[in-house]
Amino acid sequence: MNNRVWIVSKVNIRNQKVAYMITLVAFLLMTIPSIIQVLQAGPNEYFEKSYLLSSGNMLYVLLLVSPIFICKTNFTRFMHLNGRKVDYIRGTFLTYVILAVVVSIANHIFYFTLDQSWKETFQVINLIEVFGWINNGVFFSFLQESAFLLLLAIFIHTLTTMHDSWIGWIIDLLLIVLFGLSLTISPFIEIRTWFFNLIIFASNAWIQIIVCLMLILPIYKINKYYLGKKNI
Amino acid sequence: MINFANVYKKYKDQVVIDDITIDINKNGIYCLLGRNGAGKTTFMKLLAGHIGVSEGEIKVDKQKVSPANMPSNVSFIESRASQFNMSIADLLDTTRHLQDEFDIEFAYKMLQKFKLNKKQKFKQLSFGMQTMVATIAGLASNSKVVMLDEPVLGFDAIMRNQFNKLLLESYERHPRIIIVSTHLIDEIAKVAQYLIMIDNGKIILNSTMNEINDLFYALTGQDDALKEAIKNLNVIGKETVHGRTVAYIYDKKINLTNNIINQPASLNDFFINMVGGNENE
Repeated sequence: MNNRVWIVSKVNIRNQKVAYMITLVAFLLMTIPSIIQVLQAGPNEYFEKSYLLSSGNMLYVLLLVSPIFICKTNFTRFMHLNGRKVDYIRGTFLTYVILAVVVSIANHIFYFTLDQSWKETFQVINLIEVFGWINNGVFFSFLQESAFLLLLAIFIHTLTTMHDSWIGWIIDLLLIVLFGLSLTISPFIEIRTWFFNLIIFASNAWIQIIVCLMLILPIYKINKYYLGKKNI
Repeated sequence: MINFANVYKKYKDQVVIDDITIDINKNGIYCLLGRNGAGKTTFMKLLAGHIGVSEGEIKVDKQKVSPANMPSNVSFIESRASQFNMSIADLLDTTRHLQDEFDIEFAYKMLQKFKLNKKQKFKQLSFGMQTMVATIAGLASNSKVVMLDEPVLGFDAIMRNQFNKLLLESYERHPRIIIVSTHLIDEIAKVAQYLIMIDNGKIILNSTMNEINDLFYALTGQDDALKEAIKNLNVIGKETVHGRTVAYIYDKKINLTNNIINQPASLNDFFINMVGGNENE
């Protein structure tokens, strides 16, 4: 991997304050009321039917907003420094690898610390538990979550890149329609279930990780194609 | 090195670049001159591969240029371009790492020369200083082609003078093709060796500055005598000043008669007459 890719990644991580602010706000909006609820509840009380969403899951917001800001602001800035498109795309994808790993580590730390403490009072929802990843052990859970977050970030990045043309909006519409159909019409429901079983709920951790990573490849190709056509 | 072959750029019905064919092969400082909206920035963006042609072909070093194939040996510094809000030092360091060849020593030397604080963040700088930093970054790039789009925008007279020195020093350090777009010809004429004039998306002149200095002049005198003197010359414009007609000529020099005198004319007069309401004969 060349130095230019690392530089793009480093600059991306240092230059997305808005994405960090949004994540922080989302994190605080979820964490502060949870802390208040825990403090208000007595030390020996347990609310079986009350649920708290793990604060660690709010860090997912970073992987949702970061691709949008990188696409919309950092791309042109790299080009104005005479960067190359191929370095930008590789460096940016490396950024998502780093962010996915960091968020996954942080979420696991939350799971084993704050979540466990809150669990003495409330039911705590953490997606690594909901998706069954933690059942495969901490290491595989971390890998599964990282792979999923990476796929999510790269998908959003590609979709944002495509929004420069009408195709991006058509794809948005198609995805909404497909999702709507997958909630109501039988064959689509089965396809959705099959697809989500592969990328999220797969009982075999390796299958889920490999499918996520393999899906990144065609998305990368699509991104490269649209980025090539993108004007500055 | 640079070849434009029948290049058109259209935005819907508007033709911004209109059938440009030009070869730029010699190293030197080129002034790309034109009015606002003449097509200077579009010309540069096309050459940098920032946008694609509507028709025709652009090649740099025999490689076809397009947004999918941006030439790595072309650096383009666009005026008012959005930049990362980092310290000047970080910005130059990032630029250095993004490019194959970057003269960081020259960049730091220029920062010192222009008394720019390398720790200062980009957005804390005035518009003129931001442009200067971007220009330094562009000129420190040792790409075979460097393009600066309206680099003196927001510069006062002293900064324009400093810019010219910077341009010359950069060229002397690394002779290459440097294209500077501007509409202030008199300033750039001190350092430019070539002039490419663009108007309504067409190249209307591609010449050396020496040739222009040799061929461009103004004559004045009694109307009848003047008419007779210029009848076989390429008159690019005429104007009446205090009742006397001045004819701007772009042609070989003639022997002056008693009734005809040479009138001082600047390159700005040349530009105005070339792209303004000219009266070619």
